[in-house]
Amino acid sequence: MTSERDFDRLARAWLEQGPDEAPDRVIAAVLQAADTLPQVRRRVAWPTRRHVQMNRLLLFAGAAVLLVAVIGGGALIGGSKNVAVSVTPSPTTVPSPSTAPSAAVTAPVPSAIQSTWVGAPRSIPGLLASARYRLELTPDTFRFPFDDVVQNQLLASASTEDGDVLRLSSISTPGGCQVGDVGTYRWSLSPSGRKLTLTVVNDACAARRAAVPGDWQRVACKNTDSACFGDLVEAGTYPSQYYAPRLPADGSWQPDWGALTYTVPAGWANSADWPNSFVLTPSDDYAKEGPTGPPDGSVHEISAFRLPVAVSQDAACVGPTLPSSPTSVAGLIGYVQGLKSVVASAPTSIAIDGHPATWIDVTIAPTWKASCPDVAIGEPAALLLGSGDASADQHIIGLVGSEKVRLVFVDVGGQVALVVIDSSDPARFDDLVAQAMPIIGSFTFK
Amino acid sequence: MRDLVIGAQNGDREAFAALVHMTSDRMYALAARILRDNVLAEDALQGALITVWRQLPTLRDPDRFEAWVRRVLVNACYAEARRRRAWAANVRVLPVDGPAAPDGIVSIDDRDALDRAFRRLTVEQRAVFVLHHHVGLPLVEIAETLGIPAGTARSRLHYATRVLRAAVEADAAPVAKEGRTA
Repeated sequence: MTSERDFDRLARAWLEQGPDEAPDRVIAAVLQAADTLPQVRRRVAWPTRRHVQMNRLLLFAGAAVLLVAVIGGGALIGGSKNVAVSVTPSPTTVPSPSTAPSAAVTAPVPSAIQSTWVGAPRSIPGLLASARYRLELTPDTFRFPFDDVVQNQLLASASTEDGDVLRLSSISTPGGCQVGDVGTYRWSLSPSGRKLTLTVVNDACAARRAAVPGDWQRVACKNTDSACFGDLVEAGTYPSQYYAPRLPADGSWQPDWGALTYTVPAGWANSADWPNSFVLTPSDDYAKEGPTGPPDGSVHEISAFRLPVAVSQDAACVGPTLPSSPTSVAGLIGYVQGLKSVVASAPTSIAIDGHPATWIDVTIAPTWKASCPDVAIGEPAALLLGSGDASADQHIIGLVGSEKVRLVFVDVGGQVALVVIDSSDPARFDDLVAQAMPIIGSFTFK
Repeated sequence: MRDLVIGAQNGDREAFAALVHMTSDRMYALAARILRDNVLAEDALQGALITVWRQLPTLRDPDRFEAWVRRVLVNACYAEARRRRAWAANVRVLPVDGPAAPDGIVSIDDRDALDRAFRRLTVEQRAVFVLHHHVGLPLVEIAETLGIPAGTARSRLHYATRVLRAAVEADAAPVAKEGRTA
């Protein structure tokens, strides 16, 4: 045992090990940003000045509306057929947002679109390429960071004009953009608020003009250890971000937009997305999950794993990988069928995205009594397979009590992906299978 | 420092630059220890200092500058950890550069055990642990800095200590794979 004093000393010494000098480039970036960013002023000078300016602009806008009304009214009174008076200002009367102050009403970025959003790869001049892009909106800031670079690639102050136009003013200068470059984008949300669509109105910054337009999916994962989409709410076809079913054991992992795509009806959630594992959960069950996953004993989900391997059932249920683990679909199915701990159904062959696949249903054998340390006393537990390699998240796939699982092994071209339909509640298993199989049938593997 | 804070509050960029140079090393060291990832720590520091510049006029008591900055930084660490946890937890678990402990009391095994266990803590638990053991703040000050009840700070510290201590004590035992049973 470690005494309290020893541990405190050890902890302090361990924490001493680490960098103590802030990198100069970070300080330089901060001071550069401070040169261009206004401070949030006290409620004396700044809002007053803005209000004065705004009042004058509103007065002008009111006069313009009145003028249109008079013209329109006059036309109606006069009985003219030319009553279709356009209220859309001529382009020549609206100053370019990148060159002059706009007469539009500005406001903070609305809370509905303040979030982290992710989107598909795109070609952006002057910026590093990525297999997935991310943009972040706060009440007053826009960030377009690259996963592996310290500096924000496109940092801008953000506000909205006229409600549905996002106004961005560059703070950083990557991609050939200049500090102060203004871009405007019209935004709209899907009914659920999960998908953001941005279309360019005007932007002096070419890199941002290439980066921002398009559809963006909200990151709304309960588990903060994962950047999954969370409750998808709406039916549709969605991409994975991290799951890498075809990444070899010694491969180097990075985000990969759409390595798996899937089509779900309304009412499903993407509850986890990792290099080795990907999970879809009915929305009602996802609503019961906490940040670390479903409550104990209430798993009800479709999980996809990378690199399934045979494991042995040790007393501690650590599940060490068998050195001679099979690596083919047939070999892995044969391994599961041969386990004394389970009863497996006859294999059924199917095809998923043109890939040969086989599924079996598995339950614990009536004769199997062994359990695991963290399982309720008296309940049998059987380890089936391990997943993944040591470079990323690892999982042990097993069964407890009367639980039943369907294991779908897919040959994704040289290696196997494993999809598991799993419900802790045997009474709900068949219903889950009925919902899950069409979803699994929609899987595509990039 | 008070004069610099007041100057920076009134838009004096030179005063702000002086404050940045005075505080950035301590802030970076704190962020690097909470996040255990130099890249994330740099992002957190940059974001926090920009927030400090923008929000400085709203700081009512210039004498509370350091504590306020610490709070801004810890919030930036929370944001970075949540934005980038997938990297931090799985792939970009980078060794933190720096000198070895002067008295050599942290063995490689202890360090590895602590590193692994620390990554299993939530960023909120990490922050309390680092503020207590590295910055040396008492619990009541940690609670005030983070804007949380003292009881919450105490329970986070207790949990973090229990996990890390157990990791050190279990150092010689075989390491179980992480993950949940499906």
